[in-house]
Amino acid sequence: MTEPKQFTGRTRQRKTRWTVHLGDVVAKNLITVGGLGTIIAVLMVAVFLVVVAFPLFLPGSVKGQAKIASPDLSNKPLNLAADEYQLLAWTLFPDGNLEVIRLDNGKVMERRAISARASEAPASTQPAADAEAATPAAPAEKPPVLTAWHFGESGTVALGFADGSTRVGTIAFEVDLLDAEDLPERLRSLAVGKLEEHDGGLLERLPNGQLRLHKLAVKLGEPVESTPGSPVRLIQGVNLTDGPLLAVLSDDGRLILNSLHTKRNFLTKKATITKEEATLPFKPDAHGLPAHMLLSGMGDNVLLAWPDGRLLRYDTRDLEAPKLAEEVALLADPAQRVTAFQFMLGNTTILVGDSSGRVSAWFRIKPPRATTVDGSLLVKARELPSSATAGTGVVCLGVSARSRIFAAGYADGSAKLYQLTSGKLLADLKTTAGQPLRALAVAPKDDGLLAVGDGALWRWAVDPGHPETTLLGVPIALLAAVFSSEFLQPKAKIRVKPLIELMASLPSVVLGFLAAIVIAPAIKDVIPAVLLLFVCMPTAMLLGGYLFQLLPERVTLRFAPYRLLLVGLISLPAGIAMAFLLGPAFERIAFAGNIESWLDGQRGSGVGGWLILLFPISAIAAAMIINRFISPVVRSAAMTWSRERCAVADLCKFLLGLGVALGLAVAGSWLLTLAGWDPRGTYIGTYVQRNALVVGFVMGFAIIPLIYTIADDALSAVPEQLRSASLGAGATPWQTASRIIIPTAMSGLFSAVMIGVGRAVGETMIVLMAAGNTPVRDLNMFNGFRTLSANIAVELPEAVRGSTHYRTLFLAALVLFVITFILNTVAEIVRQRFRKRAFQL
Amino acid sequence: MSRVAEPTPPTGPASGIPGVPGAPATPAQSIYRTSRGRAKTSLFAHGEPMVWLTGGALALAIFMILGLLSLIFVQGMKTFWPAPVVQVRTHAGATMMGEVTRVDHFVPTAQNYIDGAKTGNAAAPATQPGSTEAPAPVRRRLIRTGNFELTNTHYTWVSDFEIAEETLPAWAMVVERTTWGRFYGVPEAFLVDGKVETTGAEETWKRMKGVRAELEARLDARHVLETDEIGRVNGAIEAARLALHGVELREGASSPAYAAEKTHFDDIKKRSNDEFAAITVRINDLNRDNDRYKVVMRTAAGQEARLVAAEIVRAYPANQLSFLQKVGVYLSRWWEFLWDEPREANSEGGVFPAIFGTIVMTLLMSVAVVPLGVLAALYLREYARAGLIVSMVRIAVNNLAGVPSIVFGVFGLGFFCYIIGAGIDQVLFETSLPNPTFGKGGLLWASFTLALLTLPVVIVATEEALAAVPGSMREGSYACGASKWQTIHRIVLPRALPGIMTGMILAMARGAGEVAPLMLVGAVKLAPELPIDATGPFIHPQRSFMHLGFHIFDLAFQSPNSEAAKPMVFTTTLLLIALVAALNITAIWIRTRLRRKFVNNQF
Repeated sequence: MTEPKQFTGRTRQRKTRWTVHLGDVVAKNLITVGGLGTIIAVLMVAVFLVVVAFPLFLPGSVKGQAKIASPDLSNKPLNLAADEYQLLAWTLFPDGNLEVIRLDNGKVMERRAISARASEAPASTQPAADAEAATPAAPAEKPPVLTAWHFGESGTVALGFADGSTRVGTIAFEVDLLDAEDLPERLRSLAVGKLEEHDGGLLERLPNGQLRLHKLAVKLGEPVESTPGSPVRLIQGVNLTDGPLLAVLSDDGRLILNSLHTKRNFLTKKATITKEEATLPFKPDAHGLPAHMLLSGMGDNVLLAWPDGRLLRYDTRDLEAPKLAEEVALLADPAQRVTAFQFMLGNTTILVGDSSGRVSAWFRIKPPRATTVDGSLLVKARELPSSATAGTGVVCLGVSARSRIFAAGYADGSAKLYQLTSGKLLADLKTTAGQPLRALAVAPKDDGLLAVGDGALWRWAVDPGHPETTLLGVPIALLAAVFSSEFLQPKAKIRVKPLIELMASLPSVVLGFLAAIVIAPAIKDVIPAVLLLFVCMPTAMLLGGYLFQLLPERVTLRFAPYRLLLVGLISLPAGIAMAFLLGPAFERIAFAGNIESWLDGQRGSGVGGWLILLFPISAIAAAMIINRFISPVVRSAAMTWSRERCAVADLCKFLLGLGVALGLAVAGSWLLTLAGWDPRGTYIGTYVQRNALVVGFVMGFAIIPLIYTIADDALSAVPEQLRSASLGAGATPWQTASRIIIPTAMSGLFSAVMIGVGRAVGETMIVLMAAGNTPVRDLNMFNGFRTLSANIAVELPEAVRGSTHYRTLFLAALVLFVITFILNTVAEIVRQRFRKRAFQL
Repeated sequence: MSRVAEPTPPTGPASGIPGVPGAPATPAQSIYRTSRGRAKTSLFAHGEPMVWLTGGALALAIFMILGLLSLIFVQGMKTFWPAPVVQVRTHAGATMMGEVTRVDHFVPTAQNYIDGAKTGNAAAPATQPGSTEAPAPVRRRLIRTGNFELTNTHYTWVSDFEIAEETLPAWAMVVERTTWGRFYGVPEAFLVDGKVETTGAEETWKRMKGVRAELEARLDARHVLETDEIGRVNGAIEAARLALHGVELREGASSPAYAAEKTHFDDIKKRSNDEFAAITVRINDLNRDNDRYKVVMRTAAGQEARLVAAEIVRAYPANQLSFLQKVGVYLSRWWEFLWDEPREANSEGGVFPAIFGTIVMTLLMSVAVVPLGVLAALYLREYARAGLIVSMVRIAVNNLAGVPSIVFGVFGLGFFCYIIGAGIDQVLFETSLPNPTFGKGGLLWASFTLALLTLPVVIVATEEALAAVPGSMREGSYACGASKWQTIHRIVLPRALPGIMTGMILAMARGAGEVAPLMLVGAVKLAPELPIDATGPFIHPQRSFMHLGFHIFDLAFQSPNSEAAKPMVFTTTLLLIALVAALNITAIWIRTRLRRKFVNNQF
């Protein structure tokens, strides 16, 4: 007997139709393919970014290394500089010839002679062919030879000649957007990204269709007789507000400072240069003439250096009476030689390269008991390790025009790129030739390095900077979440939560626009009050709490559910009012009456700045001191006190803490100022209207809802029985919140912060609009800045597809992707662990 | 503090926690406590100040959001309200007329005193330079004086102490024009063919109103000619040129086919040129007819200006308007803002192309994102075998939602525009190279980029909705003999629909407000043509488009007349926020509605 097919004993009447089976199979395959495809497509974003950015990392350390052959580079060029877009570079040779070289094919586009005669008007741009014809057929009276040179920041140059005359001016690249109508026919249809020579410059078609002309502009002033009768040996120049200042050393040992003032005649438009002259007390001795000279950025110091490491520093603050300030030995080992000597950006830090391949950085400090005439000493701040192979000395240095990055070129043809502040080696680059490098230049945007060696131009691409963001929103969001999950009436919470979540849906372009148009100008007028807000607001809230305790217990019980209303309508406005009322007084006392000029360093001492920086630390310290030493005493004494007395004692304790915090901050600031440290120039400095502070403030709007929502979820997910048990054991709601709920939810809060930080790191529009986009890299919180994301938004539309710049921006995008991905993944994993833990509890 | 945490009844007020007894206020209890010599000072333990601090943070967050929203609302709504026109005569002798746009206070400098004293100004701030008394801040107003072609400025600051006399002239007119910004003046005469037809302000104003309809009819006719007709002719020439270029590429310039095509092209070109000339004649006729009417206006400074009546967009005697008339001007400006194209470098006129671009882009994005997102979620939740890999994929997809939007923009530019788009160009639009057709930013690529960006949102929302469908329903369906797909199709998906819709609308809200990636893949400050129009294949997904968010960025930072653009930024912002908020609220509404519908079906 066979078993029945169906347990009911009946064979099945209806068969599943084939269409149903087909539908099932089709749906399954479709969903599998489509779903997997979609997920892969999304994840492919990362893969694509990697693919595009990867060539940057190909062997040979940095991709984008290009060797550009150019005819005349076997001569030693004096200086090498590239334009911002790395399309053109210019070099100056000892024979006074200046060449403009195309970086894509090495062609010399223009050649012109720089001479001591102003008659050759600076604007005489000759095509390369003419110049070549003209140069050999020099006029009968040969112009004096170029003998000394100095190339300063942002294209300023100072040149000295064999007849003792000098010229100052600028040599810099300029860009100009052209109309297609103004161009000859063949250039109008230039394809995107293609380059064409035009009018002595290089014409580029941008991806947005505009035509951009890159051109070198040479503007040299009239010659000035600095050291008549003797060739100029060394020259240095800086631009001060009232005109250029030159330091000139002649072959016969005269060391002269020239302060030049240009006056323009209104009728003839002819400029006349008047000069003030000061002679420094320098006499050539057994050491001979120095090999290097530097003039500091403010024109207050002249430094002379000899190859054997001897350095003389002259104090030239008083032009009438320049004095020798000190003599320093730059090298410890007498066998070595100083081979390169140059200022970093800002003309205060000196880089010294020696024949052993070491580079050291020196700068002036003001120790309390200095014996020098100007009270400062030149000290070695940092020494970078020598190059790997012994005996390959530093031959040239190139410094960045925007950051603390510099490049050192070595005798074996290698180059290294360093970040000075961190001492980090950013790139180790090699040319194929074993010959010494002849000149080095860091590209203006820090995104490339150029070197001349082995008769060719070498070019590398370098990765740009790092994001920085201030986050004022984190504490607000976390505290707000704690309050709404633990102390807010459930009814009120229903209304409050969507309101804050609504903030999440605000487009960031709106926040950016408000930051730049409304908040930045508004804050500019009331900086001291805004700084005070950070102190006054928490103070007012805490004070509100302490005063609330003073009320009779019946009243506090009655009003406890309305705390949010009380704090919102009384404490918050009171805090704001307090900040704005105290603002002017604070400005008068701490910032000498005007915070902006104080930040510029024009007036006042550093006390106010230290106050800002130290107050948060001193507040924490004061809280710890009070908790450690006063609270136990008060608590044991208060055993028998009435409630009112306790409240008063509590208030006094708080006021005492506030006083201690203030006192500590003031004392600390005073001591630090006495010690000669001024915070200006590091964490605080010149106020720029669109700055990190404003961005941090508005970023709060963007991340508060995010952090708040996640943190609130985490706090609410703590099992109810924990809360009940704690309250049942006699803990107050605050004790429950601070010792039970928050520690339990800590991982959830942590992931909330991580996700918030992830958002802030990648936020583009707010930074783009409110941070001013100044590509500076200092820590001044009142300065503008630029993040990776804003950098991409600004530069990618202009980058030519496939170029190094393009790939570098893809790398930036990849870095952003990886940062946020890691932050979010860590947050997610932590959160899942927290969930598991919360369920187990 | 733990010393006080003895198992005595808690003394603290426990907000929102019912059943916990209040503090022992009765003497009996306190006697009981003191008799045991135990502290009742749980006051310190309450941490009331810390509670206030946390509450303050919440209050601050609420204050920030409400302040921000109300600022945008107030500023955005008041932009179009017609302000009175004030006429100001200063002590220095200058007279100007305009609308007050901004008021602030400043502390006058010594130079202000000297200048004030020079003009014999009695009302100048009394404090003399060198006096120790701190100078009091004085009020100054920014007056929109317009008349840019005469004065080379749109705005003038006037401090109160400079003013000798301030009046509200009855016939001061605000004239909005197609070029040069606003004009402020008193109408004097109406000219037809250079001959004076009416004089006097009232008569001229009447005549201006009378001729309006006629002028507008001609302007509309001209608009049709300029956009549609000329566009058609240009399109014909361009098509013929591309065809010719195509033949050249295929056959070479010396082939007979090329010669034939060349004659055809020349023929079309000749015909088009004739047509073009005819259209130009008609446009010129219309222009000539319109240019016959001119209005003579006199400015506050006494200069006379002849305005072409056809170039006036809107004019009204600001100081005579009744409340209803003001409402009329206000509404007509809103109408123009919503339905017209921008003029004057986007700082005047409307934002219709931007609204249109935003909506079309968002819809296209939804069309792309929803099916893919739902497919992916269905696979992850219903078909994939749960395990380590699936949960890793899930975390990864989740995290993509947190990746900065600019990264997607970079991807869109590099992949869609430069690889896919350039590939399409190579195959389909070879003739128009080197000008890219799809190989640049455009509507399609922007939509796809945003679709990628919002895909994680849809996937996560859909997955959650699918997970929320009770297993019992699935099992019930299987028990009834339904196949897997039938179950998903008929049982699971309908119930998950509210969640899916929510995900979709949240994705749309995010997409509509996103700007950073669009800057890279196709949003432009001024698009000459809408992506959907009456020519060609009607939908042009390759075209660049305008977007409200990008419009805000452009207006706020790249406008030549930034002061005039500022109120427009607020209004545009208000519009964008309203759009995003409307989408969010729709999401919530649909969710509750559908949920109610399906909750009833639950068994």
